[in-house]
Amino acid sequence: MIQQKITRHFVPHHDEQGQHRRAQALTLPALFLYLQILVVLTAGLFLIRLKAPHILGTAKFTADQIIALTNAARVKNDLPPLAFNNSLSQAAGAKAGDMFTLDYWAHNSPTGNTPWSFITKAGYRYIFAGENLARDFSDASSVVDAWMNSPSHRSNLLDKNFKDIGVAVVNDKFGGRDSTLVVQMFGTAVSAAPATQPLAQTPGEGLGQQIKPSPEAVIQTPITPQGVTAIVAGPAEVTVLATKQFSIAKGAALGLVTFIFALFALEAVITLRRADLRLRSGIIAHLALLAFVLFAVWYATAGAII
Amino acid sequence: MKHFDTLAHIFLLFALGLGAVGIYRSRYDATGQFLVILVLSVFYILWGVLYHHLRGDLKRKLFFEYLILASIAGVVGFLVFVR
Repeated sequence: MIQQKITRHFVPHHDEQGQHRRAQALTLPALFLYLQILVVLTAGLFLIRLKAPHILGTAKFTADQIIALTNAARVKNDLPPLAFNNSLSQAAGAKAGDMFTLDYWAHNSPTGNTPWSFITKAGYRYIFAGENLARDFSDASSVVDAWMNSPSHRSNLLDKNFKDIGVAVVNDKFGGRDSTLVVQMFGTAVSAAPATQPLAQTPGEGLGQQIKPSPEAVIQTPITPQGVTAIVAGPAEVTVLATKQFSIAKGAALGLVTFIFALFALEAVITLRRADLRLRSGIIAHLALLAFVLFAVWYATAGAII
Repeated sequence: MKHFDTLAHIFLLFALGLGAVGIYRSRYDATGQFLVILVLSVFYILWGVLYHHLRGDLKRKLFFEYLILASIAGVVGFLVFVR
């Protein structure tokens, strides 16, 4: 009897009147309960992140780690490692500060500033330059892995034209929420080029190489962003908050959607096997939607890169 | 009717397949991925209403079933992709 009651929760059946009934865990109130659980979880994680993000975990990483991992990737691909350049690091810090101040997530600022303007303002005269951006990753290796998995970012990391590197890892608020930005700038200084080499550059993919030559005027004073803590290469580390938020959200979403998917799949299989039960219309569509959601969640990554 | 069912489901699977390609192509762009899920959630409700209306078996209960499942998809998208 108890077994029968439990089975009715998960398996389609006939009731006492002989009516075809779906599994009780798939009735409208049950589906609505799953939705409520998700809403409460989402709101809870949002509030915790807003009020006490350290509860969701903390992690530390440095610009040095990004540079070391970048150079490791280059060496692995038979390329010479890049040399740390303080001007490029200052340019990266200034770019990160500008992004936080003007609240934008792009290579070019809303005011029209390109990455190259930050590089020249930091006093670095280049023949080649490039920029990679990342946000909201919780460790350095995830950032570099993400860049290596993206063809355009990978081509910057493994570009044989680049000689120097500068990185800034910055914590501040994007749209009122704590965020960690990583700005990676590459370059080859004019002085590194042979005297006969013209100042010609190859066009990139928006985040890659500079098209026009470096301006003649070199501004020696680097821009310092105000109100942000920029960690240019050095021993200092930046603390990333709420590092477990993504894995908690992903795990919970995968668990709940898999559970609902399994219930619908079980209903479809059992109904198709038993002649006295009929397949409800819409089951195939529900399974297709849930499969799509499962794929999207499974494929989700913690941070963003451009 | 069977022919209509098949065509309708192929259309839905095609749309969801396009969505999966969108999700795949916009990796590391959480906002883009969330938008894909949001658009497909709305599409799913519209598809469900139209499909069952044309079949002549659209009922309030069925509508809410589609609405809740699409909402689950949307909230899952928000939970995972909006940070």
